[in-house]
Amino acid sequence: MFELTFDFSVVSFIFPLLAGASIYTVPRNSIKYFYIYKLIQKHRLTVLSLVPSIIHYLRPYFSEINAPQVRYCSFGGGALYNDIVEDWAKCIPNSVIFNYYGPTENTIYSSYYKINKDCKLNTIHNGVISIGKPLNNVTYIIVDDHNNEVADFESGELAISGGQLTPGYWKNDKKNKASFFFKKIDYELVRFYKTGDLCFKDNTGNYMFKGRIDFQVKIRGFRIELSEVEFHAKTKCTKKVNVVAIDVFNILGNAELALAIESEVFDTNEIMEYMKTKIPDYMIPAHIKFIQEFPYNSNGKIDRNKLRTYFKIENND
Amino acid sequence: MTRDDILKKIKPIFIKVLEHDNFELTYTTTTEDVDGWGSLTHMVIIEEIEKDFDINFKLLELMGMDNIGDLINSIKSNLS
Repeated sequence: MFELTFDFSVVSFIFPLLAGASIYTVPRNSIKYFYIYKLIQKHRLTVLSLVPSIIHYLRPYFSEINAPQVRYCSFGGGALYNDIVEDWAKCIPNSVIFNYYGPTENTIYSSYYKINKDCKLNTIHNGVISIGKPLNNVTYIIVDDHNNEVADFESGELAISGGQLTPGYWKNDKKNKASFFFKKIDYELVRFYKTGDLCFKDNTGNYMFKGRIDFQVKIRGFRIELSEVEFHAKTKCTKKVNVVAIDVFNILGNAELALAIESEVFDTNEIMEYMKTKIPDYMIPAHIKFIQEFPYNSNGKIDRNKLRTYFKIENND
Repeated sequence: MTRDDILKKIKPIFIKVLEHDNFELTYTTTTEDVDGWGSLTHMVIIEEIEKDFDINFKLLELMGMDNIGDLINSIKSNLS
């Protein structure tokens, strides 16, 4: 179901072949959300490799989904929310569920978190499930702006090293210089890749994904993590919908906070009032837009740049 | 409501969601025949149809739809 340009696709066809299993694919012109469930039922699939958006769109039909034959279900390619996984786990009651993480530059998987049968026991931050601990021969460190390691629970950029790491971007010195750095680890000079992901490590060694570094925005001089805004908006939202916070620019070039909600229009007063009790004023979205269908890129991730185009900010009042 | 009546009623929904009217809807039309009709827009079309006709499709019905004719048959059976 993944584009062949997306490294997750390699896992999707090599794992089954190595195990002598059959692979079932999703045709390009099919309605993939329904086709996937059709495959699960028709061929009694036992192993699923999905992106979070698939279960998001199947969610209204969870009560009709029962696939006890599924033994393994893995997710990757985006933030995985605990509340939806808790509901999805009931559809595949005999399955172990994993949340995988891995940038293409450290192909393919770099770490994973095994999800608990009782989802309340999962390690989460702002509702997002942990990306777990690095695989053998993969090293994670969290660094500040100067590539210095930060303490546990302190947020910074996740940097990765190990045998899976790419030699670099093809004929792109500028990007290579910005994305890779060397650091002495145990007297050895080790090459690291800066993922652009804002993370922290807890005291059990699990890493938490907080969002993209470039999803940290400055509004009125304050640095804001958009995932935190999204978390508080979703907490009070009774509808199970996608909510994305983004920075948009008004005609004076000033950044303002906006909230995109994938839904029909509904009253958001209660959500806004709740947010005001939980987060400072500068983190309250100045604009709200209801969008029927979020744009996605070819990797199945929400296209935030396209989302910005839905907001036309006339002034900065 | 006849199948033809339903066909007439769903065309504006497709136009609204897909934001163009450069297509013909017949009983044999599939996603391949209509620009912009894909996985995501299909979900919105289904939602709009459910609202417009005041019905709720079952997942099994949605899984079995291969063309407009199947969609209309499902709407018709939900209405009766």
